[in-house]
Amino acid sequence: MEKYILETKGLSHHFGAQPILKEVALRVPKGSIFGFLGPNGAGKTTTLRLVLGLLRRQHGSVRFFGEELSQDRIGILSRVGSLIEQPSLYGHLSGRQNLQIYRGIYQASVSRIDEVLHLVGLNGAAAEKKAGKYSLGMKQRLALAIALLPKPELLILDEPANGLDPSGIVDMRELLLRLNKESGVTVLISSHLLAEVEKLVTHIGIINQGKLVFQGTLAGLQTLKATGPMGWTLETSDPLAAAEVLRGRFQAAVEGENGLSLGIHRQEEAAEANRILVLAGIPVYQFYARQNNLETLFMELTNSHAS
Amino acid sequence: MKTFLISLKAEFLKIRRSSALWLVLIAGAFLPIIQFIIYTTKPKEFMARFGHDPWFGHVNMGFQAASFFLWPMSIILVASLVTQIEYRNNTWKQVMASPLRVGDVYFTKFIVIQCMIIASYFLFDAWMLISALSTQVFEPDFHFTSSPLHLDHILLLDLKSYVAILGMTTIQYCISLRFKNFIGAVGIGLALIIGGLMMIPWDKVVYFPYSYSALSFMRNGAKSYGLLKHEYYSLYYFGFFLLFGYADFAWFRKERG
Repeated sequence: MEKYILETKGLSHHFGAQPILKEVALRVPKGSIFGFLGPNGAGKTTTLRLVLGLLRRQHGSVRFFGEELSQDRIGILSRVGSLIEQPSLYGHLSGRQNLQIYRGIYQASVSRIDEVLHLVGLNGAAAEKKAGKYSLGMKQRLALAIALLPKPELLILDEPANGLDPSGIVDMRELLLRLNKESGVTVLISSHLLAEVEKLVTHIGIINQGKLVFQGTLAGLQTLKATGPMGWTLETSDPLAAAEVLRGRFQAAVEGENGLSLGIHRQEEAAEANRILVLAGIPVYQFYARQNNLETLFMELTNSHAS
Repeated sequence: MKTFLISLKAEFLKIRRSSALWLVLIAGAFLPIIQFIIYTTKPKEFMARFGHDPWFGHVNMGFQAASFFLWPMSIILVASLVTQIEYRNNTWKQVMASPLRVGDVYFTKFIVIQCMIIASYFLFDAWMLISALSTQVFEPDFHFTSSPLHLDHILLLDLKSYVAILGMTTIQYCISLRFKNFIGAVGIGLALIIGGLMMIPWDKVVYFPYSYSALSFMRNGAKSYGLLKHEYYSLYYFGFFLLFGYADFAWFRKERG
């Protein structure tokens, strides 16, 4: 059995002379919820469009279920549900009629329409309303319902939380978790909503400026978090003087009016820095280890590769 | 073949409630209603003009205006509106990421457009009948009910007109697939129609497909089943642009949707 449900190798792309993707080797393990993260313009959507064949591939390979996409495009796409960028809906048709179009294409049963409408919470009168009159959140739900129609083994969702209100985001998260747990659906979800992804994913890929800068399990990222660049921040009345006193002993950088960022990795070092400052007569108002959550780690990973 | 039929069904489902469908349903009534109005406002003049064969005069009058304006206009609007369903709704990407062959999508959409155009002809014929019979109700001195209908002549007019517009339809389909902007596709179509009408006196007009609808009427294409020169050319344009459009849609585009 294939370990990766989706695997790209050497995926590179350029628009004109401008490189967009550089040798992206994405590996989405079967059964995972894979968060594909990156700042705007990092190459997330381009990657997903290449993966689905919406962009003509220039370099590299794309394999689904161990098979090259071009070898069996129809067979592969019938097992994949997708939602790329804004919802793709026929505004002059009702929600149910939109699903009827794709039901035929994916050869899903008639009853599947009501199942997916129920799953995304669009059953009842909402299903009979014209999709053009839906709110953005409802459109997003209907687009997700279309993606779910074929009972996909892999669900590719590009920024699916866009336009959803907080309760809608929670509903979608719970739905994706349930689909993953109960039906074994692998989910590839791109997002810049880091907090949202952190609560949902088992695996993470971080892309920046067209390069995949991290890929692995969430636990792996946590390990990186523990061993990665950390530091302490102190607040004082005179950060410039404090930096001068600590120079030669610790790396120090002034942050704002009263902050001083120190390159400290152990509590003992923090105690020593504090003692030096007190002895020098510099008051220390606060002294704390910076919270190195996913967001700061994400920023560090993307910033360190940006230069 | 299976995915082709699936795609064809999906394409027919998409035109439900669409503006393209409304256009087809309404456009066919436009000229016959105008004819009804002018017959009932100047009955004596038209009774004299039609003589003892009112159907022939009525049908020819309707087809003349249709051949010059109604068919060419309907074609550019239907072709553009059908392809705009995908552009306007931003649905190309969902269509192209679904398990359908590119050719299925291209050819089934073309078939839907052709079915709509054929439906336009039959609806137009039906409205022509209604227009004449309604005139008879309000102006009993007309001889519509007591004269032969010439249904074979009407169907031959339909057939020859359809052959004449087939090349133009295919070109307009290719243009509409290329332009995301509705105005762009319609604007080019309109310019080509106007150009086509201006070229009619020119002896090289047989090479310009946007003139063929008018040419078939003017050269009495419905006189026989045999094709006129420009009608053959229409079929050549149809064959060439159907394949060219497919190549453009399937192979020459960097982006799908």
